[in-house]
Amino acid sequence: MADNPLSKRVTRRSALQFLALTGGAGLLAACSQPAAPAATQAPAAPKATEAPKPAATTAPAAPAATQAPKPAATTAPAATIKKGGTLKVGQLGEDNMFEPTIQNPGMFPFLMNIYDTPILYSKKMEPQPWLAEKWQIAQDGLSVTFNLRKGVKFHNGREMTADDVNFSLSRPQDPKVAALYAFMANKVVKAEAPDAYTVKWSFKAPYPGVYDLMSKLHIVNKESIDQKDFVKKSVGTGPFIFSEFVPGDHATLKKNPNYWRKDAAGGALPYLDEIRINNMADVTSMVTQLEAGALDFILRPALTDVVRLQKDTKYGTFQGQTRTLFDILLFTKKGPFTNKLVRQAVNNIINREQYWKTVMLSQGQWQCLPWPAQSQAYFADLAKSIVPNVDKAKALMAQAGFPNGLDTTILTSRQRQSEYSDIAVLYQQDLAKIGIRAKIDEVDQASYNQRHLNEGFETAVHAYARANYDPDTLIGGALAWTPNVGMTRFGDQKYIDLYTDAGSSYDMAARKPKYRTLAEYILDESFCLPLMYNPEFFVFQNYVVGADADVDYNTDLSQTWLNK
Amino acid sequence: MGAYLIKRLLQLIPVLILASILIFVILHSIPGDPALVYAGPDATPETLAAVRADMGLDQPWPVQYLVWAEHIVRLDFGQSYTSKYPVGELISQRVPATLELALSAVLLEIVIGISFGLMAALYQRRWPDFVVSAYCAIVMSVPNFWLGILLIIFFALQLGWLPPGNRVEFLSNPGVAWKSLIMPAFTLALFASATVARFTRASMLEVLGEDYIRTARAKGLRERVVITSHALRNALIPVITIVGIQFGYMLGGAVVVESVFTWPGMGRLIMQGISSRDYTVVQGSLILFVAVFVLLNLIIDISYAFFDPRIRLGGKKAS
Repeated sequence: MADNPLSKRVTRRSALQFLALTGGAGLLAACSQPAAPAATQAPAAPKATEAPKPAATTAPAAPAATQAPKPAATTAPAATIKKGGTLKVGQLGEDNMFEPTIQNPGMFPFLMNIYDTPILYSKKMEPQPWLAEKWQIAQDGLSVTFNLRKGVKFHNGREMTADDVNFSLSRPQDPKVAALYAFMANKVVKAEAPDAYTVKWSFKAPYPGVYDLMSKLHIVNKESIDQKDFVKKSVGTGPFIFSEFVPGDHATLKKNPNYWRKDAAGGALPYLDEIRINNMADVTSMVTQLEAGALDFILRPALTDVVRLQKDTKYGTFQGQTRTLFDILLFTKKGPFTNKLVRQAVNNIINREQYWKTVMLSQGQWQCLPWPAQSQAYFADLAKSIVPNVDKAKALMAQAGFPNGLDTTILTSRQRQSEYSDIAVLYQQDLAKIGIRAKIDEVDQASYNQRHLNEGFETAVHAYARANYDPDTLIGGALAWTPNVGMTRFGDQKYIDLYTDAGSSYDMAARKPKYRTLAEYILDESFCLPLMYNPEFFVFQNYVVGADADVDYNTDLSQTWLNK
Repeated sequence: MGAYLIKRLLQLIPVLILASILIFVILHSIPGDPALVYAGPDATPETLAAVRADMGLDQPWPVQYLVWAEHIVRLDFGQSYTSKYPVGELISQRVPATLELALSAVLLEIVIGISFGLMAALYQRRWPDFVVSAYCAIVMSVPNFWLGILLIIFFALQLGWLPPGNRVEFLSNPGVAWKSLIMPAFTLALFASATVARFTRASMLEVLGEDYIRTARAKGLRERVVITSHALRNALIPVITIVGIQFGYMLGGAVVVESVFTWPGMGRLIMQGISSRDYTVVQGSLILFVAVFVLLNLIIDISYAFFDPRIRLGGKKAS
């Protein structure tokens, strides 16, 4: 017995020591969990394809009374539609509240099911009537007037009016609200309501991103916002009513029996009785629960799982429109990357194609331009114009005065998005080819946010959104690109002039050549290096029919039904 | 007994004050800005300043601490930075799930751990002892998340016997609720049961060598009576300590199991709070845990008197 190390009397102290050791190990394990995908890039994205001409522009499509303006991704004959049931959704990330101006990654994909917006972009980025039946941009381009659909009621039964629209606009303009699209809302200098169903917004200068704003402004009920417990009573006009919410765990949305839209056959929407949104802390667990049948529909699974489940007929997948891209940030105000030649060397050593194949499993596309292929600011001949060239990169390093390379640190955060760290490893290997000795600095999401915004890095792996909306919205709203105050702090006068000039008109034909000049300038300055698309998927059981999403990865479950 | 309890409860006050200061300082020292997490990576400096002011983060630390402490004294845990929900409400939403999981796990832990420990002690250096040793070594080295996923794949995915996750409330559907509890409770209990088994074994071996056990056997008592009434009862005192501390740990430290099984417990709430630098949520949860932990220790101390009549609380040990 004496030789038994555990044979001595157990005291509380020894027990505590033992548990501290074992518990500490457990905590370490917990903390090392990949965790939720983290506050990736928030949504909102810009690009107005064919921006209507400054004057007398009306809705491209007919007002369509109350008919659903767009079909779902997968449809079925009306006769076969089975109404009712609960859709069990799993999504990574800890949602906080259904506050439409914040658009946290955890809950923004569901906002469209609770709230409506004045317009909705079609898949081709054409503005479609939604709460606004028609609209007109003034001759001078300094205002937009739109007419609201009559008879649309909030979930509390009151009719939505122009006052609600202008109230909804005032919220993102309040800095305390911390709205993601405040930069868009702040373009409106005066909001008026000539009558209950007419809204007029005025701008200081022509604002070609106005449709982006109209498609992102979720109309909220003024009375519910005024209540202190708004977070528990989110009231919109959407197809589902906010019913129950346990932050970080689940939310329940129930069918809005008075929803204004109808399906193609004139039937009532939505089809489902209820949506239960489960917050998942672990991606593996989420996919396993889908496969075990506990979930019907999941958002943002790992790409490896997407590729695997795509081969299984039990599941369907849906890829959202490209709106986010991965990029490398190079800080331009201090450190080695103040030197443009060094930045160009880095741009010329990055093997984007390899990153795309390795990290993205060849999903999406690689490119060196800021805007994706569907954008008006995309130029095919420039998109893949920078390919790895070791000799050129080495020559640039020598020319910059660093023939023997230099030391730097790559800021990354797996917690923010798991792909960041995979990219960082490949990036580190590429930098080594031109003598740049880079250490990887892996930090948690909150530290990452603080550092990459506050001059706390030399180079960082990053991702930005708003790439598919108006080209102006990307530069003005995504801090990877915003002049001077952006993450890289790049913002010389030429960049500002080019950006301002390109966004000063509604005429995309006239703007396009300006964006080409801007794109060429961006490639030359190499302060933010786009790498590849960040494809976003839904995976669902094959009995889930009609699941759809808008151009900003907002799920539209109004025409979803369960074929089982 | 009454005086002892009052004395111990009064000792809670300085412990809680000290703990609250430590929690506050450590949390605020972690890099990361709650306003930035809330406002998002594309927030402008003006927005961040407005959000910081709204959260009260523009005040000096001592002021922030005093404001928080003053609210805590009134049992007002404040408002979550991220969800804007009252922290007290967030905690009360999670406590039933946490208690349910922790109590079930402790029950399993006790049954498995004490049985195995007892068996190992009674059959020392024979095959049951070796089996238990192997069990302990294996389960202590198996990561919780791996075991959890494995159980889900086997029992939910392959066999379809149990739900793969998500808590179902007992009051709403008892038939499904217990099924949803089995895997997370078992996963959480397994590691703890190994600890209990090893402590039980060690303690039993020590007690079995005591004079009074020899005396009991010499008196001709049946072996079962010697083991259960004399040896085990005394051997359980250190085990109770362990179980009590583990219970406290399970209340807030089951984050891995909670994540794998999507269990809405306190562990996930705290981890979410840390991740988003939601100071009010983390501070409120931790101070509550400190209070619960101290009270648990008190309960453990009181329970000693039940298991060992020689122990007199607040006085000298009976001879």
